[in-house]
Amino acid sequence: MASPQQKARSSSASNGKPRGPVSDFDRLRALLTQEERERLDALESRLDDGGTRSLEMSRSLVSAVVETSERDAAALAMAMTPTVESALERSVKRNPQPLIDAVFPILGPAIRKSMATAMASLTQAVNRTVEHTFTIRGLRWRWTAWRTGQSFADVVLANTLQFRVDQVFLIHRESGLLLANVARSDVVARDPDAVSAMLRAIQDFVHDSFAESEPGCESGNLESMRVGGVTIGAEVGPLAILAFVVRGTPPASLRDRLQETLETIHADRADALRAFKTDNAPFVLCEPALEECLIERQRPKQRSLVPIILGTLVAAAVIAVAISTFHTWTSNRAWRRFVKRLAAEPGIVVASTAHADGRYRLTGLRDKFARDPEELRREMELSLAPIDMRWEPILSSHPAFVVRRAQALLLPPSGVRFRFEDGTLFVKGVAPPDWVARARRFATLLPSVERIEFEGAGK
Amino acid sequence: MVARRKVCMLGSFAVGKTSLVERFTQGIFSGQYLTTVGVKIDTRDIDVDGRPTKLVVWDLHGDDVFQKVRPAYVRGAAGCLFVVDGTRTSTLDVLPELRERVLAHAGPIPHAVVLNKVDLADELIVTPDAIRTQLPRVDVHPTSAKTGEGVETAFVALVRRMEQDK
Repeated sequence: MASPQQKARSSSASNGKPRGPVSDFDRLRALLTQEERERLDALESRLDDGGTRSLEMSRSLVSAVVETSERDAAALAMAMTPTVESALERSVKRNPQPLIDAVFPILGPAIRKSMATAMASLTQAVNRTVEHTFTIRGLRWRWTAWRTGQSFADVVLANTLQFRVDQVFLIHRESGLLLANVARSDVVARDPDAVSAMLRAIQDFVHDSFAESEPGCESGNLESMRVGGVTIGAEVGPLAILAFVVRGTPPASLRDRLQETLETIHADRADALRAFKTDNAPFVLCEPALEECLIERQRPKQRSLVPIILGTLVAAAVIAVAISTFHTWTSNRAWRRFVKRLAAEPGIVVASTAHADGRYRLTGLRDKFARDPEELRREMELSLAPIDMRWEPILSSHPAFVVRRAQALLLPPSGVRFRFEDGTLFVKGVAPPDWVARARRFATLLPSVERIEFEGAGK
Repeated sequence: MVARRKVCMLGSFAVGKTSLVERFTQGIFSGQYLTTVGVKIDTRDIDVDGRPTKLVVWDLHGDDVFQKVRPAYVRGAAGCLFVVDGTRTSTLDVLPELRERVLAHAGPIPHAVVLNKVDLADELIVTPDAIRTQLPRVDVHPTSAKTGEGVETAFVALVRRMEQDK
């Protein structure tokens, strides 16, 4: 530690004064200011030492940023933006991988969400286009659009929408400056800054011109204006105005919704609204809430009787066709069974079958002793359409028919029985000799009978 | 982020406020608004000293200025231009009182006087010195809405004043 005298000498030398014996005054001054000088020296060394200064600043930097961000977040953001942007740019240029790794987890879901939204929107648009293009209603709207010179989209909107909020403006109440603005992607917003200021001016104009002179309206505001199918409305808060442009007829509930949004913005951004001068950066955060106000509601579809009648007719036709098909199927099935049974009957040969003009036709050969087809039909209990049957007579060589023909020709006495087998007619029983003689003479005249044999005792 | 600033144009009837604004901005509203609502608003994006700014210019109707200056129209303004017709001294005479009224509603905002119609050299009877006599310490910008002379300069100077005043 230097003595007061030494310090006094050093001080005197540094002041550029000529060196010499230390005066009493210098000694006195050194004695009196020793403590302050030591403190000043310590401060000087702290300020001169870069390492110490950095250490102290690093201790207070975080709390300083936190405090500034609480006091004026917008100013801090504005001050830091160029540095952060520059740092990011340098980082990407030098090595983009860390940023890619950082962004990757949110990039995929964001792209998927964006794609899903775009696809949903596209699907909806395609559905609408198809619906409006290929229906009588759609053609009628096209005709209206062509006739009135409106765009087809406008005609469709006018006919299908109950209401649709196209644009929302958040306006600073005092200055009329635009704080935030959102619009539908298919709406062309013309200079929202000028529009919002003009809306504010019109508000003031109406208020000054009418409300102030009308008893009870002093605090009233212009709530809505209507131009053609478009309504321009405004919800007025103490610090901001929420103006909106709506197509169609907005319900009362829409105003409640917008009022709620304005109240929420007032509650969340009261400080920013009060402090607003020129920078609307803090109000970018309000845009999601404003976007939620871009509400659209379709008109309920009108129930027309035409589709109901058409549906009934189609259903009736389908049922009729089904019944007819079933009937035809069962009828054909029965017909096939009938033909099969006929073909299996002895003495019947089915030559051809046909089904035309609702009638069945059949041609064939039939022995007169064969079974009657109509009787067979009745026995099978078939509910068939009318049948035209044409039979040509034949003489069947079936033993049963040979026997029947022999009985018809030879008229045997009772107790005499015939049997036919391999061209031989066997006779069994007791008969008078003259009948036996006559049978011998005539039996071979019968078709298929080549000879006659008597097996009984009376021959 | 672009800073937004409201600027008011004031002055007597036919001093050339609307022509100046039309010269400076690209408007979407018709001039009829002036006579109906009493104001026409246009915007212009301008870059002054590397700072992008959107000026929202309120062109206030000048007929019988004292009656028509609606407090609400000038409230929240960041700057103001008072326009004088160089060929009519009466447009300068009303200026002190007009300025007082406007600043009373808008607060002590940056403002300047625009001496318009300087292209009519033979008819000029109002000089910048005459204005400075009436309104000491106020910037005066000679302009011609017809030729465009000085219009840009006047607005740029006001933007700089507003930046300093921030």
